[in-house]
Amino acid sequence: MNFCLRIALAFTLACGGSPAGARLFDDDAIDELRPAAPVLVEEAEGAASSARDARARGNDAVAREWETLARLKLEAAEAKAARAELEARLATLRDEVSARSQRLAERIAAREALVAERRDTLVRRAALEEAARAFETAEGDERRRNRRRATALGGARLSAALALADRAELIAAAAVALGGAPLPSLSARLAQLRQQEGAVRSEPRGASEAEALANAQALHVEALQRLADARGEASPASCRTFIAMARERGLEAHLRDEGAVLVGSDRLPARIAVLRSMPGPIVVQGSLASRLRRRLGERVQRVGAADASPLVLLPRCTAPRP
Amino acid sequence: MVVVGLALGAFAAGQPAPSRTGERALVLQRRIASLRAEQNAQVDGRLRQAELALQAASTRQESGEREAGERAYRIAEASLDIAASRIENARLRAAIVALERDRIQLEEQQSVVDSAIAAAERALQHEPREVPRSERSAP
Repeated sequence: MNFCLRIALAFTLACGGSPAGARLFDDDAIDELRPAAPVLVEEAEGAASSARDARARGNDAVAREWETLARLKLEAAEAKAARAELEARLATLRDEVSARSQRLAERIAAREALVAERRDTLVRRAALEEAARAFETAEGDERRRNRRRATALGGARLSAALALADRAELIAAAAVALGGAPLPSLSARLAQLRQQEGAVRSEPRGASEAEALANAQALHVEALQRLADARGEASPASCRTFIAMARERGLEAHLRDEGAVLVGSDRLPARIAVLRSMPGPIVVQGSLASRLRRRLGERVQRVGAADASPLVLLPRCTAPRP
Repeated sequence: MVVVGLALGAFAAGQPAPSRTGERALVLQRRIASLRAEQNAQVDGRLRQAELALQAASTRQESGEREAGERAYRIAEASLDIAASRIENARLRAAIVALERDRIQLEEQQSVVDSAIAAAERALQHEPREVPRSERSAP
């Protein structure tokens, strides 16, 4: 071994050597470390004792090495004691963290239960509110539907009444233009009809609508009668119109050389307005005669036996010549 | 003095190693290598001290200085014990720091969860109570 290495080793091994007679350790510190590292403390004390012996023999170099060893043993004891403290602290912390983790898991479960409970409550309430809203909507729809139905029906009747009234007014005007007599109190009756229409629209009532329609129909029939009276003769066009109207009303009607013929039917008296619109006499055969005479007056002329097949002839309504 | 010793030791480390080492020396060398692999700067001085002591022990043993060699071995072993304990203590401290961090996070989470629970409980208390069907009055 060369000289440098020997010097270095001597310094390293003997570093920190204390002066002769100085105490290596603090007794209190030794006592504190002894429970945690009894073997190391004992070895430190042994090294210190050897150091003292070597110094007593006057061998300072050896004494310094023993002192170094004593300090190292003491430092190892300190490290071991610190390790014991750290391990205890670590164990305590692990227990604490474990307990806190468990507690946290329990609290999270409790929170989730509460959240679920609240969610269920909200869902139930939302469902109830939704059901109530749906019920209200359905109720409103039902009311509106009923109102619409009533209004639609009333509207149809009123429209028919007004159309009839308008037509009656025109027909009556035409009759006057042909020299016929005017309809009595036509303006007042039309005004009354329009008032009825306004009242019915603001508050639909079936009876009022039916009444308005009946009044309009009566007015229309009277106007047709006046027109027929004023004409005296039926034009080919009006005859064709008469036949078409009769067929529309379900009657069997023909236009022949002798005049317009309606084949008798139980439906005829109910459709008397068709006959009112035509001028001239009405020749009736069979059982219808008396019933029509009651409705149309002197214009109806009975022919043939009472049990003959019902037949109606309008002689002034003839087919146009080709 | 330690610094001077280590400086001289560092200079001497470049010299040829002893030709023969005993089994004890091999064990100590392995311990030194193992602890050095931990790369803990706090124990570099102790590892260096152990290396020098081990070299001194080998030298003394070779030169027949058995008692002096034994002291050097024991110094090397004590240095390595200290280094090993410090490394282990550093591990323990790191684990403690991590656990402390976990504990703080758990405390914070617990606080958040507790607040959420309190809020949920308050909300439930203020929810309008649903009247059971049996308690509803007939229209």
